[in-house]
Amino acid sequence: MAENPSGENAGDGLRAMLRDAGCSEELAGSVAQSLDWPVDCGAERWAGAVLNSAAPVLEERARRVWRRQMSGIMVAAMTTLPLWLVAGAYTIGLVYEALCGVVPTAVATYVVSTYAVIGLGVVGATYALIPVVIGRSRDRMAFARTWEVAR
Amino acid sequence: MATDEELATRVAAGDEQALAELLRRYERSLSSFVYRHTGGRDVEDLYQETWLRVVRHAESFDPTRKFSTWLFQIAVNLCRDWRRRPPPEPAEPEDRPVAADTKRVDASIDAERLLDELSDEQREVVILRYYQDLRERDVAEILDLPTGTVKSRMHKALRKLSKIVEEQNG
Repeated sequence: MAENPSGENAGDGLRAMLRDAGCSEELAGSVAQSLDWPVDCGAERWAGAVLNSAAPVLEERARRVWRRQMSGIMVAAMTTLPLWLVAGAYTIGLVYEALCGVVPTAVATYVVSTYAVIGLGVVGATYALIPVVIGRSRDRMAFARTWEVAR
Repeated sequence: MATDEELATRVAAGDEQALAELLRRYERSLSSFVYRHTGGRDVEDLYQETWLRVVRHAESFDPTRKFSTWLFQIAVNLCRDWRRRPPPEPAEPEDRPVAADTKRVDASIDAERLLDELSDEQREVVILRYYQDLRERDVAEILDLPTGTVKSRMHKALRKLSKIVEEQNG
């Protein structure tokens, strides 16, 4: 009653092995019969206990992977931040100069500062949303894997 | 469908579903291996410990290797450690598998007694090669032996078993 790792019966190759070892057909049959040892421990009952015991290790590891992903993305995001700020300041300067030619300086200052505040708000919100987006994509990936495993 | 190796890589990243799937795929083969190795004693403990080691060391698993080989390597090492422990109080194994009819129980006892006549090294080879139906090169990798040694151990074990059976049959 041989089993392969997936637990399926794999046929009896023992007789052939015994014949190779110099046994007669009759003796090979007797040995094969004596070695017949069907085992069913009902291991499916133990899966829950294994998963419970492994849960803290898996959770810690998932957190570590998430932190690693987060830090990589944050480093990439922070590296490009000065570039965005410089580009924004330059654009604001250009707009301010152009506006000063057509409207009073006070109005130009008001328009440009409003634009700057809104721009900073958008950049701040974008950076603040990075961890949220990563967390959601992680959940989606976990769901997709669960779905694939379930199939 | 994800391969065992892909699932093991996901376990290394903390994926519980991947572990559940590996458990499902190997529950029967691993538990029966441990059962036959220990004669039905402490099977549940050894089974669970094997999986906990898989989880703990999943990060060091090399996905270019076969997961089944790695799993059985861990199980073999645990069973060897178990055998080195002092013998337990004489008692019937608690988790003898369900065998509804007496013939099946007798058969399992026969096989168990027969395998007990072999050395530990020979028994390991017979269980992995015959009962688990693994290829010689996989058995060799699990036991960290050359393939030739696996072949010769299997050959000697079968000669010994056939001699015992021949004597029993008169």
